[in-house]
Amino acid sequence: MPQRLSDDEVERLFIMRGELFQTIIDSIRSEEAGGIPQHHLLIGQRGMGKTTLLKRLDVELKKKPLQQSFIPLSFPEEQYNIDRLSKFWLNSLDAVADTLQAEGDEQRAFALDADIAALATIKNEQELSQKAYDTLWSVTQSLNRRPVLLLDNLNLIFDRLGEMAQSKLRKLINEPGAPIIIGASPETFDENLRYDAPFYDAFAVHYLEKLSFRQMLAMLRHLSELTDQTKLLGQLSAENRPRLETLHALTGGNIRTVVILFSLIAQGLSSDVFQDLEALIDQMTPLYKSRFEELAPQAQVVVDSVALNWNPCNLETLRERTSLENNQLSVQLDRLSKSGWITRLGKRKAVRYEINERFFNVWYLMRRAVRRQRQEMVWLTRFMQVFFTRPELTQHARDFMRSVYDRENEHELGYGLALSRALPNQIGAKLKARIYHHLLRKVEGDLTQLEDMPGVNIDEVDQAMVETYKVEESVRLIKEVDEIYYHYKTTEELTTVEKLCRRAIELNSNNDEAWVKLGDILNVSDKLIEAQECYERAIELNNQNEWAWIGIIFIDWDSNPEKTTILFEKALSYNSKFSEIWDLYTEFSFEKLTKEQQVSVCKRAYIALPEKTLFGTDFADALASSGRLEEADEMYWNAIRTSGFNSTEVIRYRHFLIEQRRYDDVEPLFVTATQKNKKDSSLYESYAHFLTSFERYQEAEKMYKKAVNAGRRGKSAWKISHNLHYLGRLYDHHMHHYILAEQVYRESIAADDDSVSYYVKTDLLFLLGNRLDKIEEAKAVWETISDESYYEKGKKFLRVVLSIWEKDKTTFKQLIHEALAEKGDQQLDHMDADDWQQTLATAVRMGYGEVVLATFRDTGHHLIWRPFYEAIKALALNSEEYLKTEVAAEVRDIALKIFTSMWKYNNPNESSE
Amino acid sequence: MAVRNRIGSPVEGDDFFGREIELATAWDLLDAENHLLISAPRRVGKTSLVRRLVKDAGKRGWKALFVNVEDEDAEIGFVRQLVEGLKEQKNWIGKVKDGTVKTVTNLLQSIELEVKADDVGSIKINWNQTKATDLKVQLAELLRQMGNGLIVIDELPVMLTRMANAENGKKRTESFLHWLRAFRQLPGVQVRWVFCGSIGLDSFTERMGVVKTINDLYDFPLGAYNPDIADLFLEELGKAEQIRLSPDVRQEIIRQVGWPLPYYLQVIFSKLKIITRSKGAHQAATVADVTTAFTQAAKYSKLNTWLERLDEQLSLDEARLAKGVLDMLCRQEKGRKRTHIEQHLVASLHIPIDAARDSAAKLLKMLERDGYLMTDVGIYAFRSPLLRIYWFNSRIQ
Repeated sequence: MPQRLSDDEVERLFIMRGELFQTIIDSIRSEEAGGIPQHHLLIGQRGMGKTTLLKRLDVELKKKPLQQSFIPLSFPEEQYNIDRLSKFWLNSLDAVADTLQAEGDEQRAFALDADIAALATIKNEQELSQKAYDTLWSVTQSLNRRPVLLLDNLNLIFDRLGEMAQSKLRKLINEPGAPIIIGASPETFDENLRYDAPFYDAFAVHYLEKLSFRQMLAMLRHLSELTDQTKLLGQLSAENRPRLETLHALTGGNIRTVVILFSLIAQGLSSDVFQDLEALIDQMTPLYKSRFEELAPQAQVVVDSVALNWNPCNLETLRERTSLENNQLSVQLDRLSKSGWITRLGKRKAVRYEINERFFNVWYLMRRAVRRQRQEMVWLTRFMQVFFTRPELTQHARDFMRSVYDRENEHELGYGLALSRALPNQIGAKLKARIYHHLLRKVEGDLTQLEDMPGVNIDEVDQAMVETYKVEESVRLIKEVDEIYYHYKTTEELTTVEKLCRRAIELNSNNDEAWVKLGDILNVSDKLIEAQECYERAIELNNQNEWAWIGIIFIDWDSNPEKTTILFEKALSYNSKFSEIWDLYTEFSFEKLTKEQQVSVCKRAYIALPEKTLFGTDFADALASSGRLEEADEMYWNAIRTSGFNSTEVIRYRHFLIEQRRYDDVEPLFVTATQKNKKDSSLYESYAHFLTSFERYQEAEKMYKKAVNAGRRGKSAWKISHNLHYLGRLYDHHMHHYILAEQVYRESIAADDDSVSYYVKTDLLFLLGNRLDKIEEAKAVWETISDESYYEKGKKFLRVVLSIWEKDKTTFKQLIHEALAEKGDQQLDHMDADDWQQTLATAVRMGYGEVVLATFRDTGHHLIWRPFYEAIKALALNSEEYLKTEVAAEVRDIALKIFTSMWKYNNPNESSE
Repeated sequence: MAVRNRIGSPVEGDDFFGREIELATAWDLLDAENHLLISAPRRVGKTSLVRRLVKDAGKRGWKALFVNVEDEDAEIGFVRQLVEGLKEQKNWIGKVKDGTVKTVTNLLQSIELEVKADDVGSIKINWNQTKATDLKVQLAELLRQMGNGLIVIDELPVMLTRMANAENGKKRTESFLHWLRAFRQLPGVQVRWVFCGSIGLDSFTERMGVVKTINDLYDFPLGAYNPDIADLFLEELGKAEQIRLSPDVRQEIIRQVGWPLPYYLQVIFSKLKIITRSKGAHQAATVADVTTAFTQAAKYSKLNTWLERLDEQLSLDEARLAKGVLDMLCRQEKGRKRTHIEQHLVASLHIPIDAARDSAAKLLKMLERDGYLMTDVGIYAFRSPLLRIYWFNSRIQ
């Protein structure tokens, strides 16, 4: 504020309004002693530089040579509350005393103080007023200096004086030799405009207009230089011009607002525009509030209407909104336009009005808007429209659009809504729709809750938007269901996904995927009837939903093949290219239908989807099983060639060939296939298995290595690990290269595919314990076996062999008993069998054969697993003869197989007899 | 000293310019023992003229005083101001018989004490009571001793309007005006009275229906400068303020102002001064600058007083009619025929053409007298283009 500055600072910081200053100083200088003076009145909004100009005049009048002829008098701010003329003159006298004291004329100052004190005893206003004025007159006469009253807020003084006092004052100041008055007012003051009380006439009126863009730049440059702010100076460059133009528009060229907003605007706002802006608005509040409040009531009504309209407003609208008569309105608009409040645009009938200082308008919208507008943050939209260029807004909206769903802060989303409204185009509409979508999700579609969120205008949320939300939310929920459902472990999770499905259906009962998913969940929960209804509903909504058909097909798969067949046919009648359905149908035909039907189904599948070569092999399989071998052969080749020698098709053909005992045809098949398709490790693997079965170990070794390499080329850890395992087994079980086997097993484990490593570790463990006599290392391998539940039982069983190696008979006995008890009457599966045979072979070799047999008898497994029991007994007796002669025929063959396997295991370097 | 760029305040000395003919005419009339009523719209320069008359009176050996009663609201205030004015005439008041001045002063003080004692002010003091009558007599005596004298009363209608608005106002105003008329007619008194003010005394008495109370006053209309004087005035002003105004520029100003009141010329000049100075030192004003100055002046001049004055002085219906006529006329620079205006009134008032003629006559006379309009062979037009544009901008555009 200029009041608080020193004289030096005032002079230095006085930048604008230089011409007017000079005009007034010239006018004062030209006054003749005893003449009727020329008074001046400065009119301009707050912040237009009135007070600064008055202060500057004060400083100039206190300097020589003007000081010798004039005495400037200013009232402190609190003295503007003058309600009678006597006070006005007494204040002037106080000001003279202050000036005298400041000038060092203590004697006169004290004398005047005494005079003023004496005047205080006069009670009659007229007399007091007259005497006070006379005293002022005589004091200034004696000083030979004419008083120059510098009166800020002159409007306040005159408004309070009352009509009669105003007349007296007017008369006095038009007398020869009267004090000169330089007044300032934010407004033309209405009461004094009356024709018969023309106070105004005595003044030369100067309107302090807004700064032009050029003037604003000049002022900022000057200010930056004066305050030595090189950074700010740098921001006044040509490339910053658009920003500076924005500044001009926002401030309406008001000096004070320009200064306040400059540093903030020039640097650009931070990423949190919202907070920046709120802070800025708070900062402006005192200025704007008082500026608005000092308007006359009618003028306030007009400004209110123009501001709330934001866009240029025509007369008709203003008349309606203000309920003012045409002439009243014209007068107000005219005055507001003169005092810089509003700008007139266009001419004649097309004339429109808008608030000149756009930032004031933004402030006004924030402070005064009705609840709905406040809620909608209209002010923010308006600010952005002024502050950002169209391309900036577009970019801003695009950036926001990308991150809508990452934003959880309600105010940020409100800001986004305001932004979307600032862009009345497709991008704005898209952004708005996206934000509402996000908000609707946050409130779960509750419009009442939505209405209370910042930035929301509920009128913008149409039914279509709500529907879109429901549809999309329903889809999203099903995605969420998928994520949980495919890995669910607990019934709680199942309950959760069921709820989610039901919610998805509630949001959009036409979501066929949701119905399918609910059907699946009910199916798993054995609620078959309900599940079926769900699938039927899904099909009703979308008969192209393949999974709905699959769901319903599974329900009666086992119980009602006829019905299932009908369902397959029905599904395929809607879409003959449902590949999953065809896949199931062929599977179903092999399982449930006649050979003839199999051929028919597979053929149709093959014709419907010829590109799916597996249907070709299915067709070939069906033909083969119907004894149509030649056709089958042709079909296999057809599929193999079409698939580009894909391993699956080749292997299916290999099965066929072996089944047909066409061993000679197998090798050429693999040779051709591995030439045609070098990348497929499964082809090498399958070839290697074939070679192994014909004891062509060296060739098999080579082929496994090729399979490993193909796996490496294809970067498949599983294939590398898997084929290394096979190679290890080849070394271990067939070629007896135990060192190599250990090395390869370890490589396989290191290739690290969890699904393989358990089995590799088991093989490694037996190798170490039984072949390499590295009991401790075997134990260390056992330790590394995963404790996951899936492997838990296997791992526990392996403790049996460890106890054998440790020669801990008691533990062995106990463990084998537990293992058998645990198995109960279950049969051994393929992988289990290997472990059991190797373990028990080891036990027999180590002399625990009797213990094993006794335990089998204890647990009844001599009956349950009779062939196994007899094989162990034969092994313990070391007598194949026992099996051949003493064991019943129905058990003998299997027992012999087991015996041979175990015997071979115990005698790897000898061939059995 | 030369003429300065002064806006608004009454002017004196060298600033008072180019009214030689008006002054001479006034003196002729005063010499012929006329009392004058200076009638002119605001801004024409009445106060400056009468102040000059007062000043010049001294040179002619007349006693003269200027009394501004705009801050008064009662008869007694008028008298007090008058007496104070007389007392300031120190050259002769000292020679007046002691008794008269003293008696006047005492009576005045006594009446004023009564006024002060009365809570509601002067309204209950009877102007015709004994003390007041004595005062009037003594006052008359004082004037008789004055010899050739000039008393200028400024802003009397302001005071009268306040009186008229008070209780029993109309009667008091009428009585006061009768007394004042009688006072002017006193035998043996050689004092000439001059009345002026922002509101015409004629308009006021017409409205109050007491025109006869001023029928002894000689109507002295004051108008604008003639074009030659205006040109000279601008030339002088330009020289004094160091703004070069070529003859073309001066003519353009006069043409655009249309009714070259010194006030309008000063306003345009002040704008022109800023425009010219902002172009740099030693620049001359151009014809184009005049248009810019004119636009700025129209935008910021205090012309709305002309608009509001109609509401102040006229009844609601009359004001509406007057505004209607002015609205119509502001669209036409050249003005309109009286018959057009009458037709406009017929249409807007829905009255017979005869009645419209009466209304038009009254209205046009008032608007012409108050400076809104001028007439030339039955065509009425805005007197000031500045006002016409202002009117158009603020009410029609």
